[in-house]
Amino acid sequence: MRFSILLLFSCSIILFSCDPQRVNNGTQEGYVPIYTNNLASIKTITTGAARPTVNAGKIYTLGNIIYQVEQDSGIHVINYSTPSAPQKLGFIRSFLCKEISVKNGLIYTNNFNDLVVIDATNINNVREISRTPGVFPDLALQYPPKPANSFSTIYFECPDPEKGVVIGWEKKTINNAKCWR
Amino acid sequence: MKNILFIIAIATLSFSQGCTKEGAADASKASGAGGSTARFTIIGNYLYVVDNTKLKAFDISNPSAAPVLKSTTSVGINIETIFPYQDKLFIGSSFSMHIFSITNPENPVKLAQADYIVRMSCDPVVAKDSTAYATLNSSGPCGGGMSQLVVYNIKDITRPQLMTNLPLNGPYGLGISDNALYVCDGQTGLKVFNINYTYNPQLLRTITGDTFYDVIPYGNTLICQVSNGIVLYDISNRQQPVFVSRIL
Repeated sequence: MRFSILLLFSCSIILFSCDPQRVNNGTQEGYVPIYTNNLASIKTITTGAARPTVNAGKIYTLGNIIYQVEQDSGIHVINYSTPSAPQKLGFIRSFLCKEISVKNGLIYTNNFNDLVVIDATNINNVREISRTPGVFPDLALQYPPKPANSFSTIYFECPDPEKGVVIGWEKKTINNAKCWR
Repeated sequence: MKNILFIIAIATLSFSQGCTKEGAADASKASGAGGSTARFTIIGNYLYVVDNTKLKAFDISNPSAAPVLKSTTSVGINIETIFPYQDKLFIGSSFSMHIFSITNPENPVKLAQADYIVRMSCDPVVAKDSTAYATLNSSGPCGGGMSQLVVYNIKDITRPQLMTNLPLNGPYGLGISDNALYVCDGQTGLKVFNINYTYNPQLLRTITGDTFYDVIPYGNTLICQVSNGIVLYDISNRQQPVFVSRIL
């Protein structure tokens, strides 16, 4: 609920404008929110088997382990005690994962816009120790990403908190876009 | 988008420097290290997090409890990276390098701000002794302008002095180990500089073949984040990285 209010507030004031002058009548390329009403499934930490790296993200190391973020989906755990033959041990799933830091065997990362602390001492039995909501407001996805290389305005369908929480954006042809950034 | 592209790393230096002796190199492995493009860093019992505009300090001394927010400090806009060095935090933004003191770890205090001439860039910062190095990326999503490596004299931490700038193509993270500075210049490769003269880095070589985003010098290993995973180099000779393996 608090999130919805925040979202609504952000919508109308800070993050983008709904200036009627800028309303684009007619159809055009734009972004449409992807919603979920099942936030619990997003805000869950699970583990799985080692998998290939696709969109390599940030790195962190401690002792003989390297952690590498798989952008937006989780963390690869790699043993490199033999640097010439490093081995992936497993994968920790965390929606929208971007950040990683480790201390005393605990992994600090983001899960959606929350700060989570994970005990991954046993990669096959990963436990969420704590969750601090909303530490990363920028990751709440209230607006679509700007394409690389572009300063031009992008138009999108304004998120509607009634429909759920935005978990992504889809490029589509949209009508009478009221939001832009 | 920027956040995704500009992967930041942090704690690297504190632990990788001055570990030329075998024993010291091993000891350094007791602490973790991140890259220069991180938005997180752990120092002692505190976790520091930057969002777009603010620096937040969390007490993490009780590992079984949730981090406790101790302070929130406004920094500026378009904050991108945080890098710890000694009792300072170097915070990179699109427009400036900010330096905070964490002598009181719960309440970081701003010491200095150096504004860049090049704007709209993505700018991790690392530091060693009296020198701070930052890359300014003005390519692609970071804006139009000139990409460069900038070198600041921070002997007087409250008044950073711009000493040098060197042209780069599209830089991201960077890292220091002893007399070597490693700069990820995107598709151009990994640039290795001699920093015996700290304010005047000399380009020694460019390692090509990957798109480099960030590095962690860790003991005798250089961990490189590349577009499709990780590449490891041996840096027993700091200025002459030797390929070891690839993790895909």
